[in-house]
Amino acid sequence: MSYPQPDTSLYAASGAKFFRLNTQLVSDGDIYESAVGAEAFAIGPDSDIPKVNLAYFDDQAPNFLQDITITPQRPFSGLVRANNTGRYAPAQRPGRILMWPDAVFAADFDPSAIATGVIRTDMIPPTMDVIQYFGAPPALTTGRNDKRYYYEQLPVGGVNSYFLGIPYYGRKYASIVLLNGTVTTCNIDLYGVTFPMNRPGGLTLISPLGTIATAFLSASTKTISETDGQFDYLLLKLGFTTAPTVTTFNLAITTSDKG
Amino acid sequence: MSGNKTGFMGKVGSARSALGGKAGMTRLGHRAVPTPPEAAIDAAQGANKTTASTYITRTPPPGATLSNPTALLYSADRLWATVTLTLETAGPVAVGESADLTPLLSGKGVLLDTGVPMKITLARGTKLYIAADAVNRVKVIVEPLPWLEQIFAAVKRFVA
Repeated sequence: MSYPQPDTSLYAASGAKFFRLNTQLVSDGDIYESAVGAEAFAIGPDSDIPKVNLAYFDDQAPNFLQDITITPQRPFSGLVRANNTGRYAPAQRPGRILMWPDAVFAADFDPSAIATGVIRTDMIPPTMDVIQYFGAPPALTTGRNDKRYYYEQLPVGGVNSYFLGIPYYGRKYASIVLLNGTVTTCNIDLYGVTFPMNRPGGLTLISPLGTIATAFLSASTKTISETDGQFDYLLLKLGFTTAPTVTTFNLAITTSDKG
Repeated sequence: MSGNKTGFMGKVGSARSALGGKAGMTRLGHRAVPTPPEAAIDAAQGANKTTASTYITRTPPPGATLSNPTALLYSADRLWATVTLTLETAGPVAVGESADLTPLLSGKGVLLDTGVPMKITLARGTKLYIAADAVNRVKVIVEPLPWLEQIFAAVKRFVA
């Protein structure tokens, strides 16, 4: 989680109409809090996390804690009290609105099951984007923006495998465009990764999505559609047969909620 | 004896009563019509000013709770006043004349609706309190009504 925790009270006191929590996750156990009540909650436009859980004080619920889940298709509109004077049971912590991602993310993902030799893995952390409205919003729009990851160079070097992980959670379409400027042939494979619920020891599901190119020297494209399945992450593997001396590798990955 | 049947010595309609009013013949007979006292000029001219501000409700520090988050919002100790409150954030925020408005949803006070102005006319001597369980912004506009005290006092005298 981002540190320090953003203070929603400052936003409310300064006259803001909403608070936006837009942060990269360190782990899927990150929990954020808001000390200010809300009239509505919605998933933000730049969120990789498709589902966010909210918990608020309810003196008729077990442990005085009531929860609700919001998605890009289903925001929540209604008064949610922060109730700073209340106490959750049995921890006796003061009342707050709690927000945490309803998705699994493993920053320590190890792809050695599908590669040999020296491996470098770069997992792009997912972004959690939640908007809390202090007053009644004029309209609650739904959906996430398409997201584009663009690289001009990748840290490839030596005879090894390089893995790049992109958050995919709930997306229905991805477009991958590559231009190999390393002047070295490489094999490019694509996988879909589903993280286990229990860690350590849980089984990570790695689904091959096809070879993009073999002995790849120039340009190629690949698209992923809804029929290929939904995964937590897209994993791109670059395997070089000889050590590249140039790291120029243009890569553009676009993910979308539109099928 | 003159022909004055009422026994009143002197001209009707010309004397003044000891109260300072004008004595004369009305359709109810001889009546001294009281004159309302002249309005006293308030030395504190600032008390007649309309004020507009934003009140931010307090929140307990981390790890602590407030036993009673009720605070005094406005005291109409000098003049009658109309207070207009508009909640800008989600709330809940309660207002009322009690110094303890907790529990907040108990009905001891009146809950403000977000974006909806609430007008309250406060009689002289009334205190208005506010309570919330989180940080909230409330627009507060106070419009004094100095003439109401004179009207209220005059009505009391007539009734008495």
